Amino acid sequence: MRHLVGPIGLVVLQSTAFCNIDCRYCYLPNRSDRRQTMDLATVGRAAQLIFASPHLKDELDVVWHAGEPLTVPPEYYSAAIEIIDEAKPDGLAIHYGFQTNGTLIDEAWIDLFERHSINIGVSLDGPRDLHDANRKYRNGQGSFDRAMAGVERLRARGYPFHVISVLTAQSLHRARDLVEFYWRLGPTSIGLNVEEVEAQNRHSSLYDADGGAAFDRFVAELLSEAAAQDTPIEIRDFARTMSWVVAGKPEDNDLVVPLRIVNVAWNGDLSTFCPELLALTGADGRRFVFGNVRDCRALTDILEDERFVSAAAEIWRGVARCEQQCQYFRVCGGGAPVNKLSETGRLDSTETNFCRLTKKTWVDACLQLASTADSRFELTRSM
Amino acid sequence: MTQNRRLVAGFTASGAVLCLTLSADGHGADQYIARGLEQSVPSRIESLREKLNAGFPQSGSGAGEEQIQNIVQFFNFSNCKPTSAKKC
Repeated sequence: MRHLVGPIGLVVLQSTAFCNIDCRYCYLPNRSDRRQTMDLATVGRAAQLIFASPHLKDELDVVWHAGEPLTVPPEYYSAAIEIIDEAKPDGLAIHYGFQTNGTLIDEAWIDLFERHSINIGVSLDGPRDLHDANRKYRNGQGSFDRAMAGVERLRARGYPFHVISVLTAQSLHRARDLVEFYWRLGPTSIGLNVEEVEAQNRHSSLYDADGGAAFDRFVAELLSEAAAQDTPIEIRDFARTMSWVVAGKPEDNDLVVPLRIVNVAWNGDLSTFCPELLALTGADGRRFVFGNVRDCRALTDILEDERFVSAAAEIWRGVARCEQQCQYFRVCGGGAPVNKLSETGRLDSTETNFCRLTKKTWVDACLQLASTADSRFELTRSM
Repeated sequence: MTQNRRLVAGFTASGAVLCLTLSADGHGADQYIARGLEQSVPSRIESLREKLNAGFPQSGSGAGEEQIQNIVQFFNFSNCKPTSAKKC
């Protein structure tokens, strides 16, 4: 894994660091600063560097994230997409995406989504009480009503979207409520993130909850409820874990291979590995910015930056330790560096709470279900 | 007659859906909680791969002519995928 570089599969562009809401568990340090917006010249320079790279494949995901992208007007993205599309090499298929809190979605936004077939993920933590407990405006008001209004506009136009839910300790007794809520909305997929200790968020209610047994129970209940629904909807975490189990290799862990993910901050700062590393400052004050689009002659310049060399060596030491110590390594590939750093202060550590909740629990659940005598795999063209 | 239960287990490169189908009987949440600690995780993974291959014997990759699309990002947001592949 030490010798792997790329291919580039995902570019995360931070069009703005600002967010119009202020979630309790958010990791972004500058989310109240409206001034931190990526100018179009930076978009163009980032596109030039990426498209000139020898590490491109024939498909690329470009996601606007790490701040609320919809606080920048649709015209900005029309212009940005035009710049990117004009610069892209022939034969490269680009899939654009937004991860949004949904509160600002209106007809003009959906027009833009439709024009460019943009993949939309809406962050929605479940029924009102669960959602509003953490996803609040700065005046303390919950964002549920406005997020749901955005979702209803998508539904009215028949525009597909997936949802991502952040689970907290409060969610763990509400598996049935969550399944009923999400199934009513009809998303294409449901992602279940966990409240993480990460950057600005220094505490997780989930990490305290019952040593993981309560989370195991929650996943079991959720899968049981989901399987009983008439219409199957993808639960991202089950499907991707099953995909890892069925077809995964350790080297598939994009978070520990340079340039699989390229992260561009609003000011052109460049990073790789986990996108959240852009926002993180280590306990020793070090940052994980490995260059800037204005200073790099080629994207691979960041691989020679001293900060990269040091971080990569530490990450790979951690991966090697995971391989030696963890029997889940085959379907994990060495974990998530940003969570190792946030939980242990080091990039070369091994198991984290994040590992237990997002990897081990799901692998165990997949293996359990698939090993029952009456379970079987089926392949269908449609559901 | 009760209907079988299904969970979406993955997608193939051509957009087909791989489901794990479970009998309608006897699947309360208790039966979804992981057991099998007597076997190591790697050997349980091997058993699962064998079970999949047994169901789709035409190919070593698990699903007949269909290569399972290995979606491996650890990410906290779902990656962009062609919308067609997400429509079940």
